This record gives sequence, C-alpha cells and structure tokens, in this order.
Amino acid sequence: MTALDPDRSAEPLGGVDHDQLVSVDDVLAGGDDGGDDGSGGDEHGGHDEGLPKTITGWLTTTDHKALGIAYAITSLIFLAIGGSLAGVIRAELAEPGEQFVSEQLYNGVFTIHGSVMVYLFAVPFGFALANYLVPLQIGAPDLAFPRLNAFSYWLYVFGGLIMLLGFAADGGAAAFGWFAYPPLSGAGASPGLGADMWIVAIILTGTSGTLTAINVIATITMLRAPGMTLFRMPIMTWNLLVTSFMVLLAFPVLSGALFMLQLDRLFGFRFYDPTDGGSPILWQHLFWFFGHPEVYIVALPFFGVVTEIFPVFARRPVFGYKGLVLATLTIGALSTSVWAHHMFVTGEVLVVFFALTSALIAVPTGVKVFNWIGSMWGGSISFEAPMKFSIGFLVTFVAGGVTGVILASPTLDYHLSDSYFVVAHFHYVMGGTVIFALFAAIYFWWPKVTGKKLSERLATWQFWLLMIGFNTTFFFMHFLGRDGMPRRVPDYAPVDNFELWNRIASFGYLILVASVVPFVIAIVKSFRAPVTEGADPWEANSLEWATSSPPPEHNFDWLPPIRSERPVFDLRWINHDEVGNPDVAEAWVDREGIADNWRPLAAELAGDPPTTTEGDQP
Amino acid sequence: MKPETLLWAGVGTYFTVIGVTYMLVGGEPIGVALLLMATAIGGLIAGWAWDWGRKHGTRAEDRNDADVTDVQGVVGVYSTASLRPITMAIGVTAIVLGLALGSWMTIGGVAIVASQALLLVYDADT
Amino acid sequence: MSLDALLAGLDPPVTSQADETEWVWDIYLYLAIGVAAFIAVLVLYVIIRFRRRDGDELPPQKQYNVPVELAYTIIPLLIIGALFAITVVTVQAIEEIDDDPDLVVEVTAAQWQWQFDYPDSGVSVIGSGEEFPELVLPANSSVTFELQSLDVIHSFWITAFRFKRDIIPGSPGRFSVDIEDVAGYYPNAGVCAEYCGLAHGTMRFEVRILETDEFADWIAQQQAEGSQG
Ligand code: HEM
Ligand SMILES: [Cu+2]
Ligand SMILES: [Cu+2]
Repeated sequence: MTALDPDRSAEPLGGVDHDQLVSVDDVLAGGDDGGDDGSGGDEHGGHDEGLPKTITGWLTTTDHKALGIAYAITSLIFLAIGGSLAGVIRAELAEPGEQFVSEQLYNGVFTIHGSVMVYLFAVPFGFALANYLVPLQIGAPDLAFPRLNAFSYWLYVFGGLIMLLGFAADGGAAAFGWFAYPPLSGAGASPGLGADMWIVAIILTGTSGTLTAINVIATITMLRAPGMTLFRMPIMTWNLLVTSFMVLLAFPVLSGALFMLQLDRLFGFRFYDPTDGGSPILWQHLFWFFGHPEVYIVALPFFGVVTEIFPVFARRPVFGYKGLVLATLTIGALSTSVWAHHMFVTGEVLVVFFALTSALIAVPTGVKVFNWIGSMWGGSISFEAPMKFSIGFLVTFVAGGVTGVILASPTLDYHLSDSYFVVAHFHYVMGGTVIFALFAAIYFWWPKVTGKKLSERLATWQFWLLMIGFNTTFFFMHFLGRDGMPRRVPDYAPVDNFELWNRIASFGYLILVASVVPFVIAIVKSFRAPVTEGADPWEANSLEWATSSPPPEHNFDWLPPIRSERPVFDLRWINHDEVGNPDVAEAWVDREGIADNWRPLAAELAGDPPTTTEGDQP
Repeated sequence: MKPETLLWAGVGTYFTVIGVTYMLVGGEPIGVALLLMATAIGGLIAGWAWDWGRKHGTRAEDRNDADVTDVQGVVGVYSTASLRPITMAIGVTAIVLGLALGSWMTIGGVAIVASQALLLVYDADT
Repeated sequence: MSLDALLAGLDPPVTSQADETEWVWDIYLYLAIGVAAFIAVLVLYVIIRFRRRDGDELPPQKQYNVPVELAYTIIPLLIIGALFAITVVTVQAIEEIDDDPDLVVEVTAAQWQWQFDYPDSGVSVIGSGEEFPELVLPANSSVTFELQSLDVIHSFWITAFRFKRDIIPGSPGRFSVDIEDVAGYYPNAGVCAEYCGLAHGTMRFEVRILETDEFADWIAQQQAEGSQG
C-alpha cells in the first residue's frame, strides 16, 4: 500500500484552527460581522432568493436556478412513474405464467419504463444539474440563452406528457422496447397511435436536449468569470461540457432517425423496410450511434457529482485533476466509437474493431475510479449523507463496470446479449449509479438551494434500504441471464432457479420502495424547518459555495479571486502560510480600493496582519 | 479562446482519425459518415472559437491572473421572465405532434409559433 | 469446477465452440470478481483508515502523483489488452463457417413460431399452438444453421451453445457448430432472444440431441410420417 501513499508520512498541513479560517459568510456579511461563526445564520433567511413566487412566475421564469429546480422536480416525478411501472414488471415476474397484466400491456409497460427512465428521468436530471450548477460554478449570472433554456424545459415537459398519454391511445402505448427496432416498430407490426406518440415524444425531448447542450457549451465558453480558465473549472462543469458535446453529436442523429421512421410509418417511405430495399440494420447503426453515447450522457453528470463530493468530505483536493479531465474527454471520444457492440449478435458488424474500442473505454473509466479513491486517500473522511451515497455510487458502479467488460467481449456477449445479465448490467451502471449519485447530489446541494440541511438520520435509513434493496433486486439477475432467461418476457420457463431468483428480485423491489419513505419524510421535514445554513455549510471548494444559500437573483453579489479549481477553499485558507495559495492572497491585496468587497481578512478575523501578504502591504 | 480552440480542434482530430480508421478496416458507410459528421461538429466549434479569439483577442477568463476587477460593465441582459418560451414550446409541440395526429395540428402549431415569434420582438428588452 | 455450477439451471455446453466460450467466461468472470473485490477492499480500507478522527488536522493536499496515475492507467490497459487478445482468438474460432457440414438446418422465424427444415432429407418441423417445437440434432457432428425471418427481427439462442444470432429480415445469416458427444434432452435451451412483439415471451423451442444412428432413425421416421400426411 505504501507505493500509493508516499506522502502519508508527511506532516498534516496547517491546523484546523477555526479562528484562522475565513468563511464566505463573514465576507458576505461585510466588515461588521467578524468572528468564528462558521454559519451565516439567520441574517440570510430573509434575503430574496429570486425564485418565482406565483404559478405564473414559474410558467414564465427564465432563471436558470428556477429552471434547474423545475427540471429536477419534473425528472423525479418521472422517476416515480418509471419506478411504478417497474413495480408492474416485478409483480408480473414474481411467478412464472401470466398473472397481472396481458402480454400487450406488459410489453407497453417495459417499453415505457425504459423510455421514461432514460429519456425523461436520467438525462433531464443531468440537465437539472447543468442548469442549476454550471452558472454558479463558473461565476456567471445565468445560462447564455435564458429564454432558449425555458423553451427547452417546456419541450421536455410536453414531450414527456405525450409519451405517457400513449397509454390512453387506441391500442395502448408503444410496445417495441426503448430502442424501437424496425420492422417491429414499423406501421405493419406496430400500427397504433401510441407508437406515433412515442416517436413524437422522443423527437421533442431530443430537440430539447440538443438546445440545452448548445446553451451549456455557449455558457461555459463565454460566461466564465475572470480567472476561471478552462483548467480551473470544477470537474462537474467539465463533465457537463463533455456531456453537452456528446448530446450535440448524438441527439440530432436520433431525432433524424426517428423522423425517418415516422416517414416510413406515415407516408410509406422505405428507409428501414427490408421488403423494399430498406435496411433494419441502418436503424440499428443510427440508433446506437445515439444510444451508446446516451449511456455516458446519462452517466457523466453523475460522475461529476461524486467528483465534487469526495474531495469535500475527505478534505482533499480532487486527486489527479488533469488526469480526470483527460479521462472524461477520452470517455466522451471513445463512447462515440463503440456503438456497434450493441449489435454484436447481428453478425453484421466489425466485431473486432468494436470489441477493441469497447474494451478500451474501461481504461479511462478505471482511471476515474482510482482518482476517486485517490481523492479520499490520506484524507480525513467524514460520512455525511452526500458521502455515503457517493460511496454507494462507487461500489455499485464498479460492480456494473466489471460486467461491462464481460459484455464487451463478443465471445461472451453471444451468450449474454439480450438476457437478464444485460438487464442487471445496465441497471447497475445506469440505474443504481444514477440513483445513488442523484441522492448524493440532492443531499449535497439541498443546503445551497434551500439554506437547510436534510436529516442525516433519515438519510442513513434511506441509504441502507437503497443499498440492500438495489442489490437484492438486481444482483441475481446476473444469474438469471447467464442461466438463459431472455429479457422482455412476461413469462419464463418454470425452472427452479428462475423462480427463485425472480422472486428474490421482486422482493427486493419492495425494499426499494421502502427506501423512498425516509427520503420523503426528510423533504417534508425540511420544508417546515427554518433556514439555518450559511453560504458554505460543508466547507466545500467550488464557486457555488461563494454565494449565499439560496443564491440571489443573478447569483453573485461578490466573487472571490479564482486562482485554482478551489476558489472557496483558497479563500478559507488564505491566512495560512502552508496551505494558502499565495496567488490568491496577492489577488486579494490587488483588489484593495477597487473591489467593493475587499477587506483585510486576517487582520479582522485573527487580529493579526495577513501573514501571507505582509510584504505586499504598502 | 485559445484553449477552447485547441480543445475542440482536438476533438475534431480524434473523430477524423477514428473515422478514417473505421473506413480503412472496412466499416460500413453509415458509421463512417456519422464519425466524420462528428469531426465537422467539433471543427465547427473550434473554427468559431478560433475566429472569435482572432477578432477579440485574449479575454480575462483565459488569463491565469485575471480577477473580477479586470472586466467592466454588464455581462449581458437577463430577462427573468417571459411568456414566449412556453407558448413557443406549445407551438412546436403541436407541429411535431402533427406527425402523429394529422396535419391540421401542424398548421395550428405553425400559427402559434409565427405569432409568438412576432411577439418575441417586443419581449427583447425585458 | 466453474463457479456457476453452484448456480445450476444452465445446461452444460454441448458444442466445441461453447467449450471455448466457457473457458473465456471463466477467465473474465474470475477476473471481474477479483477486480471488484480488490476495489471493494481498497474502498473499505480507505474509509476505515482515513476516517475523520477528533483533532484531525487538514490532511496533505498533494493533488498529483504521476507514477501512481500512470500505474493505474497502464496496468488496466495491459489487462484489457490480454482480454482482448483472448476474445479475438476465440471469436474468430466461433464465427468460422463450415461450408461442408454433416448437417444443414434451415431455421425460419416468424411471429411467434419456429420452423426447422432439414433440406438434405426434406424433413420439416413446425411449431404449433401450445407445444414448443423440438429442434433435433445429431451428436458428434458438425451442423450449419441457415437463418431467415419472415417478418421482424428475432434471435436464435440455444443456451447450451452459449451462442445466439439475430435473424434479420432481408439478410439471411448462418453459423456453424460442432456438436459433441452429448446426447440428451434440453427442454429449456431454445429461446427467441430478440424482442419480436406480442408473444415474444413464449417463442421458445426445445432441443434434443440424439446419437448419430438414432438421429438417422428419427429422420427416417419423419420422412415416413411426412409422406403419409
Ligand atoms: C426502480 C427500480 C427499477 C426496477 C425494479 C427496474 C426493473 C426493470 C426490469 C425488471 C426490466 C426488464 C424488463 C424486461 O426486460 O422485461 C427493466 C428494464 C429497463 N430498465 Fe429498469 N428498473 C428500475 C429502474 C431503472 C432505472 C433507474 C433506469 C434508468 C436510468 C432503468 C432503465 C431501464 C431500461 C432502459 C430498461 C429496458 C427496457 C426495454 O427493454 O426496452 N430502470 N427494468
Ligand atoms: Cu453501449
Ligand atoms: Cu422474440
């Protein structure tokens, strides 16, 4: 172990002497509120957080924070809907034979479950994070195009509603699986209106996503605060930048492919019709050229979340920042070059090429995992809710990652493809990880959004129920798949082990449902609680913690100097010779007489002149 | 804008390399076309960033030693509310939903979008 | 003994290709378990060893350690490279087509039924109604399957082969296997693995592997029945 840890022998830095630390709240409060009170307390309770107060306000808002919150709430509602549909699936599969739903309904249910989860829950929650956090993390007043942003949000809402309304259509909802392979998705095999509505819904949400991506890229390019160079951006923002670029590549391809599908269906075009010169394989290429990047579009924002959290709770900088950025870029690049691993079993793709690119992607992914561990290594780790869920994320992600390597081998995929092994795999990598990181994000940024913390005790309950419930539900699906149970079936061979594992999985679902209860209680309790938290309740690093909680309209009344990817950390330690970044102290002194918020921090707080800047004083 | 230019040029280069490789190892034309399209998108952003940088020079946010005091004035005008996004979204939804429900819906949608686009002009300075 | 013998349920491999796959599976599986366990232990170690204690000072803020970073890039790269090599070799063996097999079986998939034709002998097995059709194959012989679909995409999966192949309308496919000395009845081995609409869930078939002479008898019997009806 020592090879990993050449520095543990080194003395810890500085002393965690709270009298010497500078808190953002002290600075925000101005000169009259010195002292060591870490939390800003009530004086922030009354200030105007700029969120809309009326229904009309919410319907017309263009504020990125309001829209971020709207995205989050909407996508959580879709998570609840998708989760309930999963309940139908698990109920039906608890026993072999048909019990609760007809084949037709079952097929509609898993199709809409998958589609809701992917298109309406997971990706949009990433956009919630992008909306709320990107401007705050780079020191911008809003996204570059606020009205476009609101427009994207509403397209997403309407698209989502249309998808769900499909269940009310004649003939039921779309029932061709979330990747809608023609000819099954063609007019012949799926004539219903529900199918058309599904296509329309995804064109709309896809367009919404594309516009948001343009918005995020423009914002990150044009609206960074002075000093916020690319390589000082938080990893979260980096990940959202890469995600947005992937959206820009992938979503238009999907929209185009769907448009062609709809032309086939409505007007008798023949893009995908094998009986008349069309090609079902064309669809598969187009779809997976979108579909594989899609899973990273889902995942990257959540990788960003935990990359923000590990360092804060370990009191360490993020380990290997540049390596992490490189890994993110490599993942983004490679993930657009692996699409046909979803088509190994067609026998019509270059298996060796795609086996290679798919296997390679494990390397930058592994780098991320080790960087996360490295960020904790040698640290001083505390286990508040965000950290618990982030560790849950890490463990779940690794479990899903290793089965991904297995599936990247066509030799093995020939057996495992389209089996429950795959269902297990992708629920680990894009169900479990997303949900763990999602709750990590909620617990972490809740104080920023509301000025309150959520209950730690309830979070602990939720964490363990989620951990146990998730693994009980999904782990044994690996066995089912390996043993030969195909996916997308309402019924299965009455073999002993099929029955056993399915029953366990369905039981696990109940635990998952139970895990929601403590969370809901925590939220309700929080709504009733008073605002207690200051700007920086976790002693965090990035710029969003440099403004009050909740942030004012247009985000910042004041910005600290930005000299690293941890401006708030740098400010906190500005008075410590060992830890403080001399560039920050210098920038601070340079502000004297220019910036409104300059004050001689150390002199006020500790009664001494600022040690690091002594020489520079006139 | 230099780091941005390099970043997106790098992305474009990657897709050129992988696209050509895929072509050489016998990949099907759709995949080749999609990868080269990715080159184009990366190149487009890189080209834009390069051009912007050429015209406007180094910005404070590109300099390691810049601080808030280095930029003056207004970042931009930010409306906090507008009715246009939601009405436009209703219009666009109607247009696309016409693909499922019939062209009358599309026509209605076009009407909404057109009228809202006009109103957007009056919206501009809120 | 392979780990999943403990899990039961899966028929043993019946082709030489499947044996190949099993061997690769074992390597990947144990490695996957090993890697996951290693990381789990590492995480556990870290959160115990480095948990916050009373009076903790600010820990070292060192952010980079290039040798370590290189190590955890290169070592996985080497592992992945080795796995890839194994995959390439085996997948090419699996994909080899036997142009002169002992038996050709034409598989026709349609919503939601299977048809198996033996063109050499004119025998045809068609699934009907409630009964799953039975695919009868000779032991110790090479078989090439020719696949075609009449409507949507299906996938021909025989779990005892550890292999499936999509059947795409408009582009017939084929694959070959060498069946070993494994005569037996595999009632749950045949599955349609690509979702194909309403009754996809019941689009299954049974597999029976007969000794060579029994297989000849079976063919003769089928021919007799066929000419009667
Ligand atoms: C609430 C817990 C969840 C449970 C119990 C659950 C259960 C399932 C099951 C049993 C299937 C297989 C259905 C079948 O093949 O017949 C399935 C499919 C799927 N799930 Fe989940 N799931 C959950 C959450 C999620 C999440 C969070 C995501 C994504 C972010 C997700 C994405 C999908 C997708 C994409 C499919 C494939 C649908 C298709 O085959 O077309 N699920 N789910
Ligand atoms: Cu993929
Ligand atoms: Cu099927």
